[in-house]
Amino acid sequence: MSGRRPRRVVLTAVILLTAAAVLLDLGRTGWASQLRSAGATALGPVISRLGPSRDDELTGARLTAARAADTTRRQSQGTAASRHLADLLASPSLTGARLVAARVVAVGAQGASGPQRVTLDVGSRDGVTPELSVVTADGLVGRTVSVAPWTTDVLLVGAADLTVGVRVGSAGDLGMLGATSTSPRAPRELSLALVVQGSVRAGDVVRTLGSPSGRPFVAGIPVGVVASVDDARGQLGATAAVRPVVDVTSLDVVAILLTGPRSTPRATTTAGAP
Amino acid sequence: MRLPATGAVRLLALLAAVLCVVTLSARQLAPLPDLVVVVLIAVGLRSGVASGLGWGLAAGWLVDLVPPGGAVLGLQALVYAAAGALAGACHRQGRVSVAWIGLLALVVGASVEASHILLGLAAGAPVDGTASGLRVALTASTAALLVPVLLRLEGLLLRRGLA
Repeated sequence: MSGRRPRRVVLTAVILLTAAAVLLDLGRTGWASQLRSAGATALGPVISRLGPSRDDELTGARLTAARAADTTRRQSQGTAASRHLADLLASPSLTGARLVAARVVAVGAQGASGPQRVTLDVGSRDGVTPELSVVTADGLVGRTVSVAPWTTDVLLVGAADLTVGVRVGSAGDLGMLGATSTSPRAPRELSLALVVQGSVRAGDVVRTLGSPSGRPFVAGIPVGVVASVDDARGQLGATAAVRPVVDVTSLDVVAILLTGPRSTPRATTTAGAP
Repeated sequence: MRLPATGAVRLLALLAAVLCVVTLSARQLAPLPDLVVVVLIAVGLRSGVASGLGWGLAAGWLVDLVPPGGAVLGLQALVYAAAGALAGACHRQGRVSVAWIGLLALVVGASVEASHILLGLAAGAPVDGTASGLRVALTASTAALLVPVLLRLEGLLLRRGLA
């Protein structure tokens, strides 16, 4: 009996410390990122080895879409990863983009809403930094959040704490796209809220609005297609259900877009000049 | 202080369970059973509430720290601590039937899934009940197969004086 009391005290202390850790992480104090980095640095190489096998085309290379387009034309057959890479590099929305090809090697514990985070087999030694867009040939996958020397964690579109600024349809109406919603949604459907009343219709393509310096999101990347528009009675702006263009449950080869601040000044022009 | 062999085996089993789940999911094998719950059931049945709770905390921290990790650090530790305590509450001396293990795994697995569903609903995200139900069923089936093996392994270590 005397041995049980110290164990209970220790367990109680650990539970309280864990609860405090949860509150600190919810308060975005930043301490959690250091702990995650330590875990990723220690276990990232193990996970990379245990993950799907790597192709030579994906081994830490920086490719430009223009240079690799010749390679993809010569490739008529190949592994599934090679085909995914070929599709990625031939994607019109990525033409001219600098990117790092990567493979998904781990998927986070799936909550009731599906996967929230994945780990890629590239890291800081491959030029990856936090707050970069991650894409496939179909569209946006998410953004990089935690970067270790050899692995990178990605927060997926559809995660509860990821919201993307978007433009909708041909009119380019502004809106916010996320997983949280007050209206009922089908599993893995996203919720679109327009900033002002607009003319959103089922079938409209939703693309990223873009962020300053393209971080975390580059402008113009497809994110989803409007599945249905909610009844707008009593609401300030229209809301809609959006079906993501990327199926995050079947991710394999992805690309991290390497964007940085604009280095050349924008040319000025004179209004009304012929 | 020397770590008993059972402690080392449990730690390795939990680490293997977490690594299996994250890497197999990357190979598009889904849904997968919750292997962490399977190991915790073995621990709880063998050693009781306090051990189940302690090893549940450790398991949850592993889930949060092994890349890509959890959304909120420490949250999975609390979820799996409760699961381990629940498994430990069904601690029994002597042999345990496979049916009892399956039933316990169903209850503990359902409690973990229910926690995840509540967290998802609290965040306003849509939940996939079908996938959750399938995951619970797979966890129960896997536990019925693996838990007797894990219990026998710990029994062997005890008899050889390594525990």
